[in-house]
Amino acid sequence: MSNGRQIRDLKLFPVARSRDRVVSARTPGTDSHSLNPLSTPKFRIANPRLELPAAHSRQSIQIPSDREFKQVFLTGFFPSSASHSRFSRPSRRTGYNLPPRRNSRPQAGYSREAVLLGALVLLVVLASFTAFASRLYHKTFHVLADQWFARGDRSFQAGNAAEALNDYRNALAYSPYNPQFQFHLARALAATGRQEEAEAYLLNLLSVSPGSGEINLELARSSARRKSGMAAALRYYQAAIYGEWDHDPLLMRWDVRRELSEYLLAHGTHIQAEPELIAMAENVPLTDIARQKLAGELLVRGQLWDRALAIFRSVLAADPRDPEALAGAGTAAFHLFEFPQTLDYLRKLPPEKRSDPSIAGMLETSEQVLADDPFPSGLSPQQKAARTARDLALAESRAEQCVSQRGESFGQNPPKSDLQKLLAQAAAMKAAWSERMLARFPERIHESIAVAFQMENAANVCGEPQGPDRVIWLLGQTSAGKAP
Amino acid sequence: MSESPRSVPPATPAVAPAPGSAERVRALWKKWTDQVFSMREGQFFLLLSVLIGVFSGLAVVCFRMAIDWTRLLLLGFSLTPSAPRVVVVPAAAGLVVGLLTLYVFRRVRGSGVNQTKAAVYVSNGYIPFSTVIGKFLICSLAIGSGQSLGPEDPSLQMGAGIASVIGRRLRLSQEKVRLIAPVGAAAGLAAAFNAPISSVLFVIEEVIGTWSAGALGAIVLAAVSSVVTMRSFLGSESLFRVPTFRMERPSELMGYVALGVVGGIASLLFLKWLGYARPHLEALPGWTKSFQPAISGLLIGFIGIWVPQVMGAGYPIIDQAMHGQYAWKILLLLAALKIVATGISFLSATPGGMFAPTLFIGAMLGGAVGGIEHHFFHSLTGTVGTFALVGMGTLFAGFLRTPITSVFMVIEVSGNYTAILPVMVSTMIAYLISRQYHKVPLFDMLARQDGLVLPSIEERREQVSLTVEDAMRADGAMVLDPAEPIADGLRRAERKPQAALLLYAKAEWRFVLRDELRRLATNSSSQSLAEAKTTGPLPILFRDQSLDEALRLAGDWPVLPVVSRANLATLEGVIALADILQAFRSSPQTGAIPTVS
Repeated sequence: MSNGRQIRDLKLFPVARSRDRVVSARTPGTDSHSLNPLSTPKFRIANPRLELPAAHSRQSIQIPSDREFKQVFLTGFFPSSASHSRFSRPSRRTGYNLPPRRNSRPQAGYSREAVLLGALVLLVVLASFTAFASRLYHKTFHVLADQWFARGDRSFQAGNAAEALNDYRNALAYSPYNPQFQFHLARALAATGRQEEAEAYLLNLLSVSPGSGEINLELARSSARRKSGMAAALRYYQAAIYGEWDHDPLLMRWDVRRELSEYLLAHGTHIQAEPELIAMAENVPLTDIARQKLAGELLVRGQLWDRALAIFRSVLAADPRDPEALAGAGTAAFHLFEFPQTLDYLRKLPPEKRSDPSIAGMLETSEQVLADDPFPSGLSPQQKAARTARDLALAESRAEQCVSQRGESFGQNPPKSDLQKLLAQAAAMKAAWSERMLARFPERIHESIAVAFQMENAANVCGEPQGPDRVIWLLGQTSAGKAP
Repeated sequence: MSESPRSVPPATPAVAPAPGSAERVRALWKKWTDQVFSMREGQFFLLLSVLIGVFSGLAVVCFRMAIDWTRLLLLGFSLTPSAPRVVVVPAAAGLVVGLLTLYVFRRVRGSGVNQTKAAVYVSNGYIPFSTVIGKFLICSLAIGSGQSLGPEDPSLQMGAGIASVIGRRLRLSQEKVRLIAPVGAAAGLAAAFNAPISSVLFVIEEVIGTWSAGALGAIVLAAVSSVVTMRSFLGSESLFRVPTFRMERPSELMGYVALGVVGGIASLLFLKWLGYARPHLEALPGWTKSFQPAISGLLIGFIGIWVPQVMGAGYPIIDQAMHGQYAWKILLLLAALKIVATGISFLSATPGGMFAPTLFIGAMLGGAVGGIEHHFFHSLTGTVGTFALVGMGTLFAGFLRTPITSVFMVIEVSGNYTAILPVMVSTMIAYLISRQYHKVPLFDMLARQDGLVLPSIEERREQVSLTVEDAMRADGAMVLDPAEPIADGLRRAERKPQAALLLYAKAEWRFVLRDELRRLATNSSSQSLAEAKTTGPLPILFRDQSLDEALRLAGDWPVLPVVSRANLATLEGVIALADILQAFRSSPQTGAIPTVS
């Protein structure tokens, strides 16, 4: 191929659009070797409105030879002269994309319109294929993710948290942004004791859904497992209670509150637990017997006896024979010093429940209290007087022991301590408060038993009352034992 | 009876049939193509860059799906395949890769970055389409079978190849064909990485090698359109989930300083190893190259039996590391093994990229450093995940030596600007350490090992940039006043015989010959210097301009005035061609190409 023809084929030279009219680059009166700047390719290239050649040859885009460099192009256009040998064959060693051999067969040229049309058609075809392939791809990955997730759920529910962890990880590999998968993975991590990793996932989820009740609850549980995580646990529990729940929000919030109450009671923080227990009791669904009983039990643990009794009564209204409700109501009534009610509830328990040591103790104490009670309406004046005199004597005896224990004297005049005053009063009224006189004058029973109750109360400075003294003290706490 | 001539109905003019729909379409098409092809080439180039971006985006989407499908088919559905599969599959696939690379697709070896750069600077943007096909097929097989390489660099080269084909077929000027390869490269990388800004910066830093890129607009357009295309099919989520980044106290930056040091050392070790081992492996007989990928697959398979996390690109593992799934000892082990595995894969000339492995190693190292720091400093608010995130950028800067891209990549991937300070601190330290002890960047080193000298932005940064101020002479001229009497002017001129005589009149600087001055002095009719014959107007220079510009303007002028930008009439000095040449000669830049260390 002559240099002239090569020059003509070089696509840098503008020619007419028709592929058949290949006009020589040589303008009349000039030749391609001329240095006339107006006819050089550089000038033409600098005028972009000029059209590019219609005829196209793959060979025409090759780097010209050294000779053509010197003849056609200014040295500034190509910074370095190309060595012919470098472009002789593609380098196997380096794998670099070098132009083909210069003697390769030129390809048939296509008009630019045809190329553009072809490109657009190819774009549409490729886009359609990609759409189809990506749909299939996403579908396959979703199916795989769901399968691994289902497998993980089965393993988790079967108690195999380690295997569930592996399955959830695989599920996440196919659906990395699925929050449900991440959440379950976090739960599996927590179940396998990897709290920090679980928290990392949960915190990430929380940053996306800060109001999620579920996530806050898991974080609360995770924090609760840490020794110094109480403050964080409380924060997350509160966030979970007031957070968003997808299913049964009222019940979920109640459950979270119950869990929080249990947590606080377990840590001995009764004061902090009280408002939660009250709120829980206020919000317990009236038709949900199981939850009512749970609430009642927690209220008993929290020593909120009146509210516990109210809830258990509500349960007993629906099922008078419910053993847990009877036990709970009896316990609450006992601590409210309602001994007749205590006996009423506890005696309805089945024998196996009644043999429970705490139940048996409450039963026995309640019976003793009622046996010592001088105020039941069916008693004769003599029986009342006998009980009163006995109680008074017992209380006096305990008071004297306490006074001696404290190193105080009995007959100090004037008496200084409450116990001394009460003992002095009892001594002064000894004759009037004898059994015979009390049977004769029943109106004196209230006053004398009240002094007995006060002595038992005052003697508590020397320790808790035991045995019969305790019965008298309990009797004093009841409403019947208070001053009329 | 004669018949009356039949009345011939008047001839109706021939009505052209209504154009059919096909003809209408053809006419519309012609009208549109006329408009398109009558555009200035620059405008057409911009339009073309959008088309290239879409094509590259589609190609990368197919590429990513092909890798995942290959992995599913070859290694199964679990992240932890069985031991025999882990060993046999990479080795068998490596054998196929080796044979294909050696005999069918000979131009697909390497990561793709240097190959694209060579196409720009050596082959004028020519990348054959067979390279695109070969890269697609072979890299899908290699990465999908577990080789420790990434898909980003091949995507870069595929995008460049697609752009090259389009540019050539549409018969753009040679300059534009050369420029179009980086446009496609940015598009391919942006789609692969889902990070358009970082991709543009990387192409400018590494492929083009200069910040004065003429095709910056086209590069940005192509990157954006490819990312939009990719997101339409694969969603807009990042390749891995990034944890929330927090930094409460400035003192926590010290933790990231330590990370920068560790990252710099790791980068250095990796660079030294590749720099040492690659020439030795390249020197082996040609027939061994068909087995090298198989052997690397086998070795990676053996590593994968115990640590399958090092196989493949590793994005799920990066995700797990970012969420504190591994203890720091495991992270350190993963980082070390990944360096080994990636080195083995890359040195065996298996086609594939270094981006993903670099991110993996950085994430593991960062997580390990974070874990160790947490062990000793419990009050650190930065989690292991945040250290892993910064670690990715750190190793990117230290190993690939693209500090600006690294910073933006971390911010783009995390979507959190809070990370910028730690990232900048850590990446700069790693970069400085790596540069101090290994002068030649990775891609330059690989190119020079292959016998090519490609421009490097790092070398250009090293070059001393000379300005007019470095060469000008403050006292080399004397300014004559046009209103000055000639005798006075001559007297002043003779006091400074070496100074050039310059005249500022009518907003122009002009040169006055001494002989002319003397001639005027002897001519009694001449009154002032305004009558002197002068040469000019002289091109003016400013002291901050580069000496290259001064050289272009120097021409045959005896001197050129250097004037103030605030007042063109104020002369700050003069500069001559000899001054310029002297400044160039005495500059510290030797012009020698640094050898590979």
